[in-house]
Amino acid sequence: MTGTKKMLLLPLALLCCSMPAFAPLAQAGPGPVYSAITARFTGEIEPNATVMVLENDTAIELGYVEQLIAAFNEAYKDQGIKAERLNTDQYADLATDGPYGYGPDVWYQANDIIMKYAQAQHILPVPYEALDAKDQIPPSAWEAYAINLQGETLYCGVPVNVQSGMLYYIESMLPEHWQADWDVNANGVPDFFETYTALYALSADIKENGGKTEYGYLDDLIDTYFMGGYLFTYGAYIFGDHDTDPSDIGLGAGEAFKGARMIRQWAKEMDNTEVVEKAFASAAFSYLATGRMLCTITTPDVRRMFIREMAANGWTAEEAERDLKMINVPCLPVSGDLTADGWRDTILRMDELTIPTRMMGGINGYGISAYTKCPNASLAFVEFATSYAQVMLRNAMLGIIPARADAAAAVGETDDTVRILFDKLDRDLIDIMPAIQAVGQLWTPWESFLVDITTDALRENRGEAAAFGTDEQLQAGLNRLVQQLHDAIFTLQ
Amino acid sequence: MMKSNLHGERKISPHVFLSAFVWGLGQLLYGQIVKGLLYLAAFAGALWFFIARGFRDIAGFFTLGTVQENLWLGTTGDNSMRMLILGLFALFALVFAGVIWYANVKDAAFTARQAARGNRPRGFRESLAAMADGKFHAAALVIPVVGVCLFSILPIVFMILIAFTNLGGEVVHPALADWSFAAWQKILSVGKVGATFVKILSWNVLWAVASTALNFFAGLSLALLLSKKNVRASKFWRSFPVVAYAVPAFISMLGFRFMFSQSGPINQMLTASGRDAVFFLSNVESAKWWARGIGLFVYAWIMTPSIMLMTTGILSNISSDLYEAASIDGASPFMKFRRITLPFILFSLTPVLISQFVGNFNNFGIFFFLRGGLQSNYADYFLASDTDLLINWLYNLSVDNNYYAIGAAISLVIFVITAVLSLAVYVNSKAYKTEDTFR
Repeated sequence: MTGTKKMLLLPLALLCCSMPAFAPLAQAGPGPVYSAITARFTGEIEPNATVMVLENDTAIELGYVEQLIAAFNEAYKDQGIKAERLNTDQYADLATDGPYGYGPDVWYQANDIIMKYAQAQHILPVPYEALDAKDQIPPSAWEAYAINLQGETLYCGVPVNVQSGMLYYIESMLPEHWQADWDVNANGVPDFFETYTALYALSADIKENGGKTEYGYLDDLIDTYFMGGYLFTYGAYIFGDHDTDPSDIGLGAGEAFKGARMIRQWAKEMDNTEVVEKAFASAAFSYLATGRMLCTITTPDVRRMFIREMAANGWTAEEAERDLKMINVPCLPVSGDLTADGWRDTILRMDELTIPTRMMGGINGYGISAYTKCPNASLAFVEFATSYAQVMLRNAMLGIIPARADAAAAVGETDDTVRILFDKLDRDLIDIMPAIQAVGQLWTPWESFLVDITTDALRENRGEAAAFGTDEQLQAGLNRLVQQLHDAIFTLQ
Repeated sequence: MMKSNLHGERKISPHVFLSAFVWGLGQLLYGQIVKGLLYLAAFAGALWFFIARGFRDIAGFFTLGTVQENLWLGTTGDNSMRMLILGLFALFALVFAGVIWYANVKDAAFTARQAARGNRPRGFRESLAAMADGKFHAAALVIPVVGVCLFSILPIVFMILIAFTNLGGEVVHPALADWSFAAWQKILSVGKVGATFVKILSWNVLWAVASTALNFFAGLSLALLLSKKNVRASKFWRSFPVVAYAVPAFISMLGFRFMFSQSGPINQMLTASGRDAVFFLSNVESAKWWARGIGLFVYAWIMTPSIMLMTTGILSNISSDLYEAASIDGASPFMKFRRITLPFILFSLTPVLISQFVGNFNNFGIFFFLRGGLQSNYADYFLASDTDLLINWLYNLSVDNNYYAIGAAISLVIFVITAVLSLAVYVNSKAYKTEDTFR
């Protein structure tokens, strides 16, 4: 084992040991509930079965799914089964499609979506004891698919990759002489990637004085997934009782208004109407590759999209691979104000003036539909797709961060992202999306709130009266959001 | 002899009683073999269906299930949604069976009367000929009526019935549903749902009236303009709106959404000219009337050509004598328009305008494509935006959030409103009252 692997596996091992909630996975054997529920997984593959697989759009677009299915069909042709891609929207409604035979047998999705359906039994608990990947996947990843039934913990999905926000930039687009101007702690890392205060200062500087890029940091400011981190860092949470109690909605808890304030500050600084539209998320690839912005934040699994866009803008594939960097997101200011401290101070007194940024995250994986007619063939597909070889291929083609420790270790030898993400998981800096049905009600009201506060900032730039100009107004907005979510979850039940 | 015959006609033949209990038996005893066998086959089919599952389905219709399925343990159970529709189908089948039974008894009684008069019972070919001749309307309508019942009325009744259950939210398969008025209580209460319903309904009525009127007058104006003799190359100009009409509506809507987006060409032109960009389609309060106005404009863009084409055809049918006579009487151009053109057009177009009104009232696409699912964060809109029509809200509730019962209740309200308004307008229109006027 190489030194890098050891370094990587150590936090993973610690992670496994430091999570008491997952003791059942690691220590206890399967109970009677597990045995009864997984009884249908007899190991006898249903003859002539066709496993319908619903996959992720990006994986389809970049050709991974085609390869996966071809490899599975080749591997299992002697057993007379095959897999086919279900050609439908990646966000299927298993509750309405499944009972009538229209849904997938195997579904790759984020844990919150899989678990939304698992709660109402539309997704089967997997026989994790029989899976090769069982011990390779850390408990923190399994937890995203955990469900408790009669005192036993069951898992309704097999984790494939870890998702959270990472900061992307192109090295050759860094400002000239950044080592002299933007590395006051001389650690070889640009200061503006270490604290948001410095990034804000750089963005303001680029806007005022110009630079290699038109903007510094730009982002989809109405994306709940990435903006959630601003609120979580200051004490907000989604649901109480470890994200299991929808009656306790915590988006306005603690000093969440500070996070909202900074999102608003970014909108004011960016002063760009495009960042308050959903379309920015897909436009970001070309924004970075064409030099309109220096950096943005998105998930690791879209790295290939950036590479493709860079290749279309003059980079060779190898150059693009070398030039595109993906690093940890900067720290946020303790003050919750991007302009309160001098940016140099936040670098030199980082421990005192900043706090690590929490981010929303997710564990994507495979679930098996409760309506499948071929559970054993479906399980065979899941096992195949979560094998070391396939996860490595998925990483190579899409840039995902594997949940499997062995694959993560192998990827981590050349890609620091793995260490960053697992380190954040280890330090509890990633809030995994809740795995309860109520989470489905979260996104539209939350996104609408983000549109409100960011649009308000842009309006203020034009001299119009601000509706969210004070901390009290922001807190009132958050309280209102919480009430809306509560109404959406409970009013019609 | 005559007296005896009359007495015999009044007395119900035992063959009729037999047919009442075993369909076709009476006909068989009268020697109507083919007809009797057909009725007997229908009887056997009905018996088989109702014994095999029909009665169970009807019972399930009332209970909506008693045993919950456990998908994880693989134990079977009831599916409320399926029981509702199968129960409804069984009830329809029961009514259909009743109609066949009635026809069978009536036929046996007719044959008994014929026999009492000393006439030979009709053979199968004679019966077919009599049906094709004397009861052609009934014979021709049987298949369409059955088709309409199965594919149109049954789904509508199914949707109506869902409004009286608690289906939706957490009550989706495998959970079992119950009959309930909860959806109506939610809508009619003064809470957030009720308040949002009133706000959306008000805007919905305004939208339907305004968009119908705007499309009509824009189309008519264009048609009048292009039918003027002094307009050169009117056919050429007329082709432009037709091209706009030929483009799929949602493509036009997405195009306009881009045009009016934050970073779209209109805002780019505004900022380039030194003005501030406008949040046309955002969810903020200031965008409310912008978005509504853009919706009216975009829909007029899409629909005006069709009205223009229709009115162009109608205009060509107005006799020029009427205008000449009006000119001799000293009528101004506006008077001619008000007294001749408009009544003539309205007379012909009223049914079309009513159908447009209903279509506009239920216009799902326009704001779905223009505003893309955001909700308003002011004025206590509940899972809705200030441009949502009832049909959009219904979509948010029933598709996005799985509140089927409340969605069905809203769609019933939509149906009642559009039906009442459409009927009221049509019955009071000249197209209905004075049908012969312009013939």
